[in-house]
Amino acid sequence: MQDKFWELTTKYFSNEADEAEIHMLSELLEKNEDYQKTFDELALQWNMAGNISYAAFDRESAGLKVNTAIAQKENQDKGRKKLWWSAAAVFLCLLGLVPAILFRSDRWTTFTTTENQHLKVLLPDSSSVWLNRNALLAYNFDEEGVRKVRLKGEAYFEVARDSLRPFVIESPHLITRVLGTSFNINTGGTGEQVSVIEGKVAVKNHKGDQVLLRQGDRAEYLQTSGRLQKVKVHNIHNTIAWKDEIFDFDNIPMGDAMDYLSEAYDVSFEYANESIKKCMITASFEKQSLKTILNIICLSVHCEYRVVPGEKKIVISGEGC
Amino acid sequence: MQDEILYKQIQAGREEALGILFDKYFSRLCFYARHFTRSKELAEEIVADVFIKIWENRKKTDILNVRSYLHTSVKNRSLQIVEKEKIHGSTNGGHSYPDLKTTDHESHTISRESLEQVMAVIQKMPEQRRTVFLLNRVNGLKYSEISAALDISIHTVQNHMVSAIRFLYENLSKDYSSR
Repeated sequence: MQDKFWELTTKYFSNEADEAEIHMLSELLEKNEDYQKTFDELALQWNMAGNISYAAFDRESAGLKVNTAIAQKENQDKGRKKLWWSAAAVFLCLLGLVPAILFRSDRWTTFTTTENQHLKVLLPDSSSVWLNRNALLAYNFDEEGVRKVRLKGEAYFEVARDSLRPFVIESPHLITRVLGTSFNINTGGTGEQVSVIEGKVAVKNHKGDQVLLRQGDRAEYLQTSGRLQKVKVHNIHNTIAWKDEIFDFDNIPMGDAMDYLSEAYDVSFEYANESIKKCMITASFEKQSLKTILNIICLSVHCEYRVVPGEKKIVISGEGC
Repeated sequence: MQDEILYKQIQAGREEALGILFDKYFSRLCFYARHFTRSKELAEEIVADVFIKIWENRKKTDILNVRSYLHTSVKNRSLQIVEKEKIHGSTNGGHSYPDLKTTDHESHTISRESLEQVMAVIQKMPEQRRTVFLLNRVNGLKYSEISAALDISIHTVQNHMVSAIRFLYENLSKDYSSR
């Protein structure tokens, strides 16, 4: 294999690749299937190596040393501490405008959505962000050379291309680096997912595990294992159906289709019979009511549905497939 | 990101935050310190001292990058000690293999077996290449930081990393070995 491939791959994994190099790498991977295969395998090995630590050092006794030293220090300080606090309190009262002064250095602009609200945000670089319900978005474009964004909850991004200022999103467990593209991040539940609708996105977690995504890929992070992995998703466009209410089910299992509906309409589904989930569905809907969609789906797979009053829950029954 | 949040809590006087940071970094920093001191016991002592200093100075020190700050402090303190105790880094290469272990205790998504394989391959690397690889992958150091710590050029660091990654692939990939 070409030396350039190894150099770029190494730089990418070890976090030393700049924007241009990441582009070059993803073009190499796109053109050559063997490279892509090698790269994916390496990603597994690299991420696995992140679970390694050094044995043979005596953490117990070093920890004890630190604890003892701190306890002693704290005892000495006790007398002085009280005085210091009361002095500080007087000083802060005199200042009056504490919050304004404390927060001035933090130039973050924040948007939030409530339980039944969607919001489209236009950022100063003309990127657009759609926030799903219960989400929080903050941005800070003051720093040179980077567009910084923070996210909690779910959002869909269309990022304006600017190769000199990468767009970097920090969510609770992941750091997503965007190469001019559109994608969806969901930080709800027991993990986080980044789904790429178009273009390329690099995602890493705090342990240094890395994945490189392109159209149709999803990065999945599970909080329980702390592991980050890349999966291919059939019909990935449905991930953003919560935004535009367009569903395009192209021969996917009923269970998956219902997950998308549940996300978009904020309802949960219960199945009288698990094998209903396995029925395959092909249908598309644009801005239809949930009732219409369920009527059509149930006609084609021979099921029935019942809305549980006051619970946002729908029970589906039928023979299954 | 998480480290910096932890440090804010340390600054606010929360000892348990220091404990979390200590648990996270202790082994890595010992590995790093031992590179300078060539002594396991000295390394442990140095790392403990650095954490005590962090606590003592928490009110007057703002830290932007905790990982980098910890490594720099450990390096400086190690060099001081080496100078004071006149330990001349044993040039006879009496540096033992680092003992590696897994931090993956709960999850069973990767097989224990394949992780053992990865560790075995890392042990097989020549010493300097292995040190460079571990400092990057496990300690999270940048090429420039490794270059300064080991006193080799950035270019050499990069070459070691490329060799290490190829070595991993060549020894672990089923595809490659069947070719």
